[in-house]
Amino acid sequence: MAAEPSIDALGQFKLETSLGALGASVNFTQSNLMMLIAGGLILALLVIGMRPKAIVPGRLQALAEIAYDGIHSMCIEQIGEEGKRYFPFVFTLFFFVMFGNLLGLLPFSFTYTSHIAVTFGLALIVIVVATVVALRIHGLHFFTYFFPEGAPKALAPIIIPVEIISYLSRPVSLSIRLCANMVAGHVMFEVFASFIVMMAASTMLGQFGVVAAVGPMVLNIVLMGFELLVAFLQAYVFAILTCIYLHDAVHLH
Amino acid sequence: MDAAAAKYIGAGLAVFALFGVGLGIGNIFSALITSVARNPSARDAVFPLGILGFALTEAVALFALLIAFLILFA
Amino acid sequence: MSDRKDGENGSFEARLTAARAKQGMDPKPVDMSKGISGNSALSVGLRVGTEMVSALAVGAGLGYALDRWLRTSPLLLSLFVLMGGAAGVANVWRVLTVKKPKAE
Repeated sequence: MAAEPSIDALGQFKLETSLGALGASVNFTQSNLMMLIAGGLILALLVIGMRPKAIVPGRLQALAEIAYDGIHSMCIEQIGEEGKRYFPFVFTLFFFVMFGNLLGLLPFSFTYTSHIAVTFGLALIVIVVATVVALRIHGLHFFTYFFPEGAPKALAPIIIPVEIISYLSRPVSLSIRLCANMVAGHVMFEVFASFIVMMAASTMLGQFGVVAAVGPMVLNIVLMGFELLVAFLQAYVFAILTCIYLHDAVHLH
Repeated sequence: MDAAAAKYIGAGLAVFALFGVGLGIGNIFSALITSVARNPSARDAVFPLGILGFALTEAVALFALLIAFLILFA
Repeated sequence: MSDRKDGENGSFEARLTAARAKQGMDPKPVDMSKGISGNSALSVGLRVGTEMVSALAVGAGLGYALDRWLRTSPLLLSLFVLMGGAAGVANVWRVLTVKKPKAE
């Protein structure tokens, strides 16, 4: 019998070059490829979906309209009337993250949101944008953000560093949350999928192994439904936190 | 046993304090939930106290973490 | 659409909202306004842990980096770990206390 199959839970996150020799020459990884596909799909959804311009929308158009409407109202509710200005930004982020999460669930694909470099990059963009917005609207007044009004002056040496650390921790928590959720989900898929193979191939269980392998199979199917929820939920959380940070930037507190 | 190994073991032992911290935080929030469940209108009065207790307990965890860091890096 | 709009003078928006509500076509906006306090209990629970740990990580990282730079090991590390913990609690506080919709 061949070597027992082993669990390689992290191999799926390994970056490899794609698109043959051309891709290899510029280090074009499958992660980049998936990003391009996600971008293309988002564009296709909006362009093709909105092409009929029907008053009573068809399915695809309804999807595009609900997406647009949902994010639009989220921006306005979280940020206020000024939120309309940041709507394109939030919309792009939400869809980029969500398509990354969802595309990663397809077989043979790659989840680019499972890499901390990607999510941290996205989170940095959010924080830099929020800070720039705050500086443009409030000027130097922005720095009062780090010292809440009414706090006793004597506490300033404690409060100010704490607030600064708290502010700096935003991109970290934003990126780690998304990345960790994606990695955890996919590792669980891999582990249970390995269990299926291991049980079916196990010499100890013999014929019974194939029957036993149904267990992890069922678990994996349930997990898939759960991961679909997580994929949407994490993108939603990412977008809503972006809105909250922008709210803080626009209103200071 | 060489010094490096002793260092790691010491750091591991230092964070053993988290055992008590875990119990403490669990206790605080169970008491908080119980009191809010019994008297929901007291929520606003009780909630800051709960967070205060959480912060103080967390400080113990930080001391332990600090000692572990000191053992490892200093 | 255009021929009826003039008849009821701008109440088109109101009628549209009413019609949409009646058809149950507006579940999404309602969902979002419910989530204004910062989301469902599930996502709050998911958030609190990372907020706490990430503030601590940033504090410890900052302290360690400053120590390497200024050669003051272990002084700043210990200071920043404590501050990072405080920032973590402040973050948790902020997540848990945003209850009312923003009033401004």
